Amino acid sequence: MLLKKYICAVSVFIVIIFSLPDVTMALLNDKKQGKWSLIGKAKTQATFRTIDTPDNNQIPIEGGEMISQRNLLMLEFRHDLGELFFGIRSEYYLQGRAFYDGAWDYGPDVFSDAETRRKYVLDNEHEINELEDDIELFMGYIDLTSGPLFARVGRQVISWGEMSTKRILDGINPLDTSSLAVDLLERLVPLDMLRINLLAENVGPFSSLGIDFYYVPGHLEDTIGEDIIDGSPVQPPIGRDLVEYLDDPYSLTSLKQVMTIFDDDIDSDRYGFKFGMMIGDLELNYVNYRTYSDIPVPRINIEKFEDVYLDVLTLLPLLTSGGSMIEAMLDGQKLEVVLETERIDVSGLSFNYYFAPFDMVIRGEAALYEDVPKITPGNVWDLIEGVAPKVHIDFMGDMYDLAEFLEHPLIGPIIQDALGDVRTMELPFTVGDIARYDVLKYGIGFDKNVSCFLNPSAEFMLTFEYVGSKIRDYDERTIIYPWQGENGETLYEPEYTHDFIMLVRTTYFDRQLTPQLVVMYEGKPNALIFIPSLALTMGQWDFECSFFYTASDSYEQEGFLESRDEFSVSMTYNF
Amino acid sequence: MKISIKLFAFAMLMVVLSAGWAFADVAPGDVIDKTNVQKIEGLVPGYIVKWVKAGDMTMKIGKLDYHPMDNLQPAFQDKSNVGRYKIIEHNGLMDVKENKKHPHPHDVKGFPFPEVDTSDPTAPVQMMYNFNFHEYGTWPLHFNDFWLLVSRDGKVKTFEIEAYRIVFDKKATYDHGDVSRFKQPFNYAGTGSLVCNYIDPLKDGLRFVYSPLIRRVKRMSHRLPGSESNFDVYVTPDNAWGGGPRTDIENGRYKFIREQTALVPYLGKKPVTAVKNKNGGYETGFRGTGNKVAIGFEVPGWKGAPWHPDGVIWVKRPVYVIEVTSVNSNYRWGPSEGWIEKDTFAAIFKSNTDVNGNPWTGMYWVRQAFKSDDGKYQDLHFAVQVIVDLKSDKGSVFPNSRREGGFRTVWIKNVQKNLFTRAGFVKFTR
Repeated sequence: MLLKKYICAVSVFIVIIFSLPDVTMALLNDKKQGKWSLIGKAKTQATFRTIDTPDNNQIPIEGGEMISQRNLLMLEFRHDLGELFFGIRSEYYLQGRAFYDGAWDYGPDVFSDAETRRKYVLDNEHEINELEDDIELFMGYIDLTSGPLFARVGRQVISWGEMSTKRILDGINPLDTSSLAVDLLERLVPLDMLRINLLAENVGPFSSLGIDFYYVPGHLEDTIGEDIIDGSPVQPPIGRDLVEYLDDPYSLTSLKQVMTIFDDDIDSDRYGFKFGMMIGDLELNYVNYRTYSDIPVPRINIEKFEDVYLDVLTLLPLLTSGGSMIEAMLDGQKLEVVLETERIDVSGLSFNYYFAPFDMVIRGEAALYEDVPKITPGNVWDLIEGVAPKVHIDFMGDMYDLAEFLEHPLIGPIIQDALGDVRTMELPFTVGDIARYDVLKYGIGFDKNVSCFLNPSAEFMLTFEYVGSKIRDYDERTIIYPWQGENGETLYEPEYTHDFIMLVRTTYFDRQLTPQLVVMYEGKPNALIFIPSLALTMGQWDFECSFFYTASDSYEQEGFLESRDEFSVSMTYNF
Repeated sequence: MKISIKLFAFAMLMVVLSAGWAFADVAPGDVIDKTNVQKIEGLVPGYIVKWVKAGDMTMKIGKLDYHPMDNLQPAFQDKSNVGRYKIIEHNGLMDVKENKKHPHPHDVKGFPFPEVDTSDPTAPVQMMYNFNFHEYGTWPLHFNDFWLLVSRDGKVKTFEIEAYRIVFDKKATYDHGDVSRFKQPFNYAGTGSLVCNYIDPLKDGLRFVYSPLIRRVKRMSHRLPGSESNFDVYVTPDNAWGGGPRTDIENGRYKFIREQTALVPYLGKKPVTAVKNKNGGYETGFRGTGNKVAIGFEVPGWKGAPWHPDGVIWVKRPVYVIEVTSVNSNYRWGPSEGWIEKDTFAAIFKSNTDVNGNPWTGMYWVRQAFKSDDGKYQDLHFAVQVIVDLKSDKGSVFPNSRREGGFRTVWIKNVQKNLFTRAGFVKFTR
């Protein structure tokens, strides 16, 4: 079955490629009027880890193992309908995609073998089968234009802001983080929305004025990202569960067994506007929008927990057998953990300016994200305290709730002793209200073409960016990252972040060969990321290889990438 | 005896010279290939002679049924601008009559320099302005063009691009603008650009590029380094005419070389009928006219390099030869040589060298005339451009709208002017 799937994927790829003539054109196009065309690309890609992952990663991957083998087919159809009625011009655009990541079927055992995955308490074959491949309409919209009005209705992407790497104002469409092998075209997940632009040109000192408004109806569109396979190599170092940890009833691995994780309800409208202007060589934009937070906060939904009535006689045997007191207190109920994504308001400014004396473009943006939900540190005792009012225990004919029971002078100390060190055991979930913080993000950068003796035939394009952030009303050690340090320790978000990014690119052999280097440096803690890549274009073919390397002295912020150096190769056929 | 020897030597010299003169000339009906290539020496640039010698190119000498000047728009046949304009500092233009620097394109009717005095050191710059203003005279324009990158073995990479061009109203910030977007191949499809420029060389224009990969409109320097090829093919502003830097005009240094007779390529002996569409514009591309040009790789039995177009006739016409360099240290070309048709100021040939002066690219423009039945539109524009990379031995061919699916509508009505603004450019993104 697996072999068949592999052969099928490769065969389709090859057939598509080699059935095309030498004189490559669109697959289909309107030869008379030039009003419609069907084009596409087929891409196959493989990524290999170059170092072993440490124990804080969910699954062990050895250096040299393949972590993704993504095959992608994208087709797009564009049709200019011309003038429909009342002078309204129209055009529609459809983009479909089909993908299949073969690493889940013929990659290392920790990906492809269900038995091996069960050792890491990952029993999600069904999830893998569901998410490893897909065929869907990725984007699809219709444009309507009349005079100063422009409307785009349908599944689309809007990206505001100026920074090339880190997102500041660009927070409307969620990022697809389900795989590092996702194509650049797929990075932003399209949303069903209505977009309206009102434009004006040459008004007073402004060569251009525009209001860009969008609306995402909550009852139609609930996408906040792509689902990630549990135990995927793309997940940050959230710690490893081993089947033997289940023997300890108070281990985090055991605790997870009494929890069921749900996605949050996404049913609120999202909307926003951008007011933009050009004055002289300066472009200035004011942006305001409502969106959902991109990092969910896992919160134990105590409200959903139903009252439990227990006889103390059911608990006492556990004291001697070493069984799970917590499991007994839950009486078979599972705790509901909701991945909370909260609505947040974003407002900010962006600008770009062509600085003629140096023939360079300066870009900048700043945004205030209001009420961003953050994961605050908690422990298992918080969980017990949370459910305590709903756990009722019959002790010698009197009913106590758990809180009272644990304070009972006779039995309380015994039970608390049995629970061991749960008071201090950290829990990567929030219990109770979610803490919210305002976050200020800002960035500035420039682009400049420079001559260099290394390439007499083409220039080097140099981009430099600084991106920082500040959490307002910050208290030290109050916000944790959803991943762990090298030894499983809790990591805390800092008040400030500072990232410096440099991108250098040039071309050789008439733009056929493009070497590029991206360097990111993050101050405090020190983390240095190198991403050298080489792209080769030959006719309709694109070949690319890249290396992702991180050196860091901590797992905080970008430092968690320290354990995931990888090498990637891809080839693409465009038609 | 001594006299008779001298007479004999003189007679022999005359024979040789006359034979030479006879060889270096052509007549309609001649077919020039490697067997008689000496006939075109001096009439075309050296790289063309090399291509013919190598069997890459065959030239059919012909004669037009019309005079090119007679098919230009009437304003460009008019000579009343003689003496009205002059070239000023930084290769700028001045209207002497109105005492106004950098006149708006709408104010310059026809060629600003209908007669160029080649003894004037600014003569090549005058030719540049003539070329530019003729180009503006064709706008507003909406076209769907094809660019082909052809390898020696006939493999072709096809680019399709849709674009609008306008000359702005006088009250507008900029003087003229372009918006364009790639429609194929897939890896470039959706890439769009908005470019607005001034006539004043010292005023910086505007350039925004939309990249579908980052789904973002990005501000770019409006000045291009010139020599770089775009998207594998040599489509750069500087390769769209016979002179020097077009986005960095003030840094061009021009030199007039000579005036001579040359063989100039044309497509068809007669003007093609431009078709008036229902919106009042004129169609000159495949859509509307069926006007199509076949390229060597698709012509059965084609002999020669696969990037040369079929159906070209070469006619004798007067040309100017100029040389240009850029003083911008970022410019990646060495000296370029351009051949400009004398009366129409159209680019005919251009060769570029690298910074070390080694030959890099050689190109030629094939021209075609159009005339509408109602007599209101007539013009002469380039039909096909061929650029050969002399280093990598591959050709870029631009048959423009003369391919199936191509169109070119000139003088379009009801142009969406806001499309040429930063806010309006969003319509061209996805």
